[in-house]
Amino acid sequence: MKTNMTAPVTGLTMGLAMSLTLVTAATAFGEDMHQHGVMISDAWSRETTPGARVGGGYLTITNHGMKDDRLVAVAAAHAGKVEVHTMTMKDDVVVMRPVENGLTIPAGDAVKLAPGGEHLMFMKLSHPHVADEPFEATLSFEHAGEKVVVFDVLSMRESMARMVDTDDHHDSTDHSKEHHNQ
Amino acid sequence: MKTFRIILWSAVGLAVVVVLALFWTTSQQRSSTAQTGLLSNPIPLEQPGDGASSGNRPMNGSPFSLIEANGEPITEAAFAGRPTVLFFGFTYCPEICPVSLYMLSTLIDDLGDERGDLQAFFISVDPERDTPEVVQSYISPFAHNIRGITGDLASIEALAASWGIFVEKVPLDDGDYTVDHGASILLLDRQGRFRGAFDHRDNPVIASEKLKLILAL
Repeated sequence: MKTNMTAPVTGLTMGLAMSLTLVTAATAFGEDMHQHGVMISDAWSRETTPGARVGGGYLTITNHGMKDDRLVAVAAAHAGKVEVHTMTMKDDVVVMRPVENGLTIPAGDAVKLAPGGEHLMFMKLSHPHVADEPFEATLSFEHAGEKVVVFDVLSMRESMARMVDTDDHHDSTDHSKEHHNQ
Repeated sequence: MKTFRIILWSAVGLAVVVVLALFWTTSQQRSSTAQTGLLSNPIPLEQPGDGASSGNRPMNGSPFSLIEANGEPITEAAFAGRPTVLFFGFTYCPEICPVSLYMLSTLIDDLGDERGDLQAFFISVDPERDTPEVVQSYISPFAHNIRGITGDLASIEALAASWGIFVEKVPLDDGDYTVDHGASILLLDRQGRFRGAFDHRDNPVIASEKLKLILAL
């Protein structure tokens, strides 16, 4: 029993240590050399109402590397499951689907997950997203490894302002969409 | 020639009868509209280029028997006599539903005293997961403006369809499911008739004017 218990713990510790190393490495490369790895910016979510089963997450992922990368998994302590979703409006109908096989981040390009399009879907929430209480999520990339990302949580009012802001920048959103819809 | 004349005059006679019948039907409809003091145009509030398409939306929804989020039964009778706003959504919706509810609630707040007896309902398109308690909790920040409705799936699908709101449960690979649903916010007059729509993509100023118009009808 004891060996069975310690093995996973050791594995976990090693995993954590490795993740930390990867995160540090990715950050160092991203910031210092701008040649390798992915950079995350503008990570935010909106507050959820008490009964909400899910919360949306938005962010910009920039790939400074020479080859395409993929966001293959996302995990957060307060969410039993996190998926990347597309959201489209067909006339007045909301159509939301999980992105299969990860979200591709083309080399030398940025993918923006923003209201009105792709988002992270935090599901099975153990507690709601509360305005001004940031939370962490771990994003796993095929090449860049794991990155711990802090999501700001905006109030509904702030998030509405952010949505208007997003609408003003259709060009960049459409640009990013061109890639991962391929 | 004689036969031709008979046929010709019969055709003219038939045409006159048809025109008179059409005129009579139209005038009957007009007078019934006039009696209730409503505009003859069934969709007077739509603006060109609206996000919420209402082109072929029915004017009347079907009767229903569902459960309000407070646990009480609710029927179409709740829509009678008051300007009513309807929005279909579900609690597994991370963006459109909370944003739409927030927008609607804020618009109602902003009406202030002009709000009158306006009422608004959030109707779950995922009643299997959205129990009355879950719906009540979900709308709690907006409960002063918006009431929740849930019930059995077939009844809700029938109600949504009767208003021209698309609802489709879509199974996902992992055994889970999602619900594609129309996001239009429907505006009904005091007779429970469809008068316009907007959605979260619309300019709040225009949406607010539409709310005021159903209050004025």
